[in-house]
Amino acid sequence: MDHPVLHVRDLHVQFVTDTGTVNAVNGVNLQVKRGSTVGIVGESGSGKSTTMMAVMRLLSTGARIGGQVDFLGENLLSLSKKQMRKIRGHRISMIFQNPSTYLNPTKTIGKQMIEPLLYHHLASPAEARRRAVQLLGDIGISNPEKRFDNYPFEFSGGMLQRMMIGMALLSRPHLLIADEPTTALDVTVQAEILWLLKKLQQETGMAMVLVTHDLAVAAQVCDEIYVMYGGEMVEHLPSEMLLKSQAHPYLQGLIQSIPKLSGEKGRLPYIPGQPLGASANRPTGCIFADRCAYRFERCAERPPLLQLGERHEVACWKAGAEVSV
Amino acid sequence: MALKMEELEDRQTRTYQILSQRRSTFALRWFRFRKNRLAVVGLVLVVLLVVAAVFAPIVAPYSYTKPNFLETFKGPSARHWFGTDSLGRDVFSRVIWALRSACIVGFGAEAVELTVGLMIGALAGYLGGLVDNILMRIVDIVYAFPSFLFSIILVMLLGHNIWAILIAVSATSWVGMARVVRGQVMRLKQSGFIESARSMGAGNWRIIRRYLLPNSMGPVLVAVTFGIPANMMTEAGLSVVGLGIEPPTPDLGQMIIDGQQAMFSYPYLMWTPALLFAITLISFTFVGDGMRDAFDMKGKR
Amino acid sequence: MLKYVVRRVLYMVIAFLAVSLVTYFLMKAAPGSFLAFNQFLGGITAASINLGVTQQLMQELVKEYHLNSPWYVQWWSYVWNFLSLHMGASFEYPNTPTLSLIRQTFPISVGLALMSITVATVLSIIAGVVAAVRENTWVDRGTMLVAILGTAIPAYVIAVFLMLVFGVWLHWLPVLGFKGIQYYVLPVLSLALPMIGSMGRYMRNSLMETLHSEYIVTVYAKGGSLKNVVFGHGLRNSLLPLITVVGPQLASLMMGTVFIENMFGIPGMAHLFTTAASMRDYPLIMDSTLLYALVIMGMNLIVDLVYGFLDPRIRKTGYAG
Repeated sequence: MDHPVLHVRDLHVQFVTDTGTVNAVNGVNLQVKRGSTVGIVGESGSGKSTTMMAVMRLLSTGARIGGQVDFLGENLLSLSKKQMRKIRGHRISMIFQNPSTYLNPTKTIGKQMIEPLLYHHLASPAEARRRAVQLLGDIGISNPEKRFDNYPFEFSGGMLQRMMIGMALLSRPHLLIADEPTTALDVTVQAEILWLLKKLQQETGMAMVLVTHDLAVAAQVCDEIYVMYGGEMVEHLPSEMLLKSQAHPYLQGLIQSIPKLSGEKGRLPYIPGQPLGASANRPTGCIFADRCAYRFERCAERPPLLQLGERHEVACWKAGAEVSV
Repeated sequence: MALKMEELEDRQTRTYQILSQRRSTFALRWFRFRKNRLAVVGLVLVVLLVVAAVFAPIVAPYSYTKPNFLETFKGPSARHWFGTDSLGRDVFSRVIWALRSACIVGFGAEAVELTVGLMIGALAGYLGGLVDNILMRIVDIVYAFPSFLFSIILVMLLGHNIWAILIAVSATSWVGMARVVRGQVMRLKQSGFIESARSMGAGNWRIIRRYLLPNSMGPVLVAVTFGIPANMMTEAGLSVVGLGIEPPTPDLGQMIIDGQQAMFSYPYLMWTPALLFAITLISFTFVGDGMRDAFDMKGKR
Repeated sequence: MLKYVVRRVLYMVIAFLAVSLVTYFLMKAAPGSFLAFNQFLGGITAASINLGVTQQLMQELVKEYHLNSPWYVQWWSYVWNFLSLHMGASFEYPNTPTLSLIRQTFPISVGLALMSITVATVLSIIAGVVAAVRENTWVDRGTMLVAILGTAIPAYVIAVFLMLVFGVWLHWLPVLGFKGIQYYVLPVLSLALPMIGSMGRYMRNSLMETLHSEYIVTVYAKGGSLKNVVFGHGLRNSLLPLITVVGPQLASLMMGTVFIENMFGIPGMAHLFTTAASMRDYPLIMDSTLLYALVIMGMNLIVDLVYGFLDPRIRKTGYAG
């Protein structure tokens, strides 16, 4: 069997603060195969971004990370700081939600763009410039030679995100982590950026992790989807099964609350209750039980990830029972 | 009728809530202040130094003017903690009296600055528009003044007595306070509760007095705490350039300069007043730092 | 941008005139005058001692400064003389025009100030970077404690301890006079140390704020090291606001030279001013006050313009944001 590019096993992240310990990620497992796109879906605070930041080891020093993150057979969590630096921006690149705050306002687009090449000694400054200008043109920025010397404030949000993507791909990484890459953009621009990401992925053959709260985006772009809730993985399924065979009541609730264009107009269904706070005492049973309509006695016990089919797992007693019966 | 009773009770409970909140705000501020250890040390020292200055006639063991030619240039000892000067006067006693002058100017000038700054800042911030524009242009111009030179010219005009120096010190430094107050008033003016007070029929003056001033206290108190040592520095500085309080009234700046004349033979004459002055200024600064913590203004300048 | 500069310069002109008017009236109101003072002295000592001011010279001074004309003529003659660089004879030194007195002393003061600001800037950047990178360790706390102490104590008190340690105890450096480079060390340090306090603290906070900003995460995500982060990104963004702190510091620095020149016996402009003030030498007081005001206002304008130039957002569009 083909080895996955990224294999996260039992990842835990805790933040130690003045007011107590926050359990942000609790035992997450996920696999990203070569050339595939994996979506991580969940509401804000579900731990999806934290998971990927932990993979990149970009969390603040106050964070305690446990588990194993295998990238091309190497456990990233056991690398030295220096070894990890050699992976970031070279083997794994990352892009972020709001390109205007994730770029230095006082440095030109070009200088920031070529930094991955310079940091990893992949090209001379002149060669890096040539490659960056070419890539800027390829990803649809007109007049790239001139745009190279612009400052971020002279770019629109969509152009900045294009540039961020270009910056991430300049060093030809094996894996791109895109953390809500379209959330801060206009809807029309969102589609362009997603299309660009997909196109570039096909061209380069890299693997991609797309972190998003938007199920539609995930379904469009990804091959497989992981659903997170309260810092835990509650379901994993191929994206073509998302609308038909979703098993976890939480995911069902999410899909039902998407407004539909066709069909009768009525009150939009929603999931009652509040999402589980990361700092709250974690229940011993199912973490979704408090808000779940299908709750029964067994839910007082924590459900493991139950295999429903090929590449389909769910952490729910009910969904698991239905299959086995 | 029943509704009215309910309303009344409701209002009462709300008043209690607000009162208890006030108490807890103070408690919180005190708690934050105490967490800054240096601030607590500073506060203790400030209290000690100010008490010593106020009770200088009792605290100082010797006269600050009477020469004693039998005991000139005696180094620090049990009898004369800081030694004696060229006229045999006890340096410790003179330092305490000098501290008194520094405190008079430090606190006095700050009171003047606070009064002027509060009036101008509150007026400019609250009325806004043309009044604000004119007042702030004046503040800008005073800001451009070479302030210390003006203090020197003012002292030249008013004489070398402590009151003249008090005026000279506060003449240009009120602008900082005016800016702080104006900024606070502007900030509060935009917040909702002024609107609600006005809708209940409160007049301009009442709003300034009852709502604006109490709520803009934090930064003002911090500015006051930092203003006092700044005034002391100017006061002593005037003496350093030979334009301060006239002898024989002791003054820290004057004592430092006098001590400098004999620094190779009797260095204690220079460093004892300088050390006491430094401790005084540092203590005030620590207290000011603690106040910043207390009012949660860290990082804001 | 041009509109902004024009408006600033206009304010400067108004402020300058205001400074001259206030100074003029304060001097007028001051009890005793140089003329009276010298006439009195001249009366008792007759012509036996050359006081430097003869009856004839005095009349010349009266004429030159329109001392018998209405106030606005007198005031304007001061301002005009200053602006046209025809700064006339001072009362105290009638044979030397004020201009040449200022010319002798002003460069010394400016040199002292520039050296101090350079030393202070370099040292505070180093202190700020060290403290920010070692955030919340004893290095950070220690550096910042020293910084607070520096801000709390004025230059002339720092001078006392520097003189004591390096002059009296160690005999390493001279403490009085102005004959060579070694004479600069203690005065410059005395002036620089209080500035390092506030500038270093500012530098640390500003750099720390930058280091915690989101675009620094991007730099780390690109594989940047702490060195790349601090020198490639953090420093340039923190140096920018530091310039705004240097401006007001310069004004207080110019005032700081007043004390330091007096303590170290440096024949600078500040020394000249204090002598002038105690001798009621009006032309000299006026001219030096105006010069100081001009320097302070000019420095602030320059700092603002430099800031505008360095920030690409302001340089390219004319406004921030």
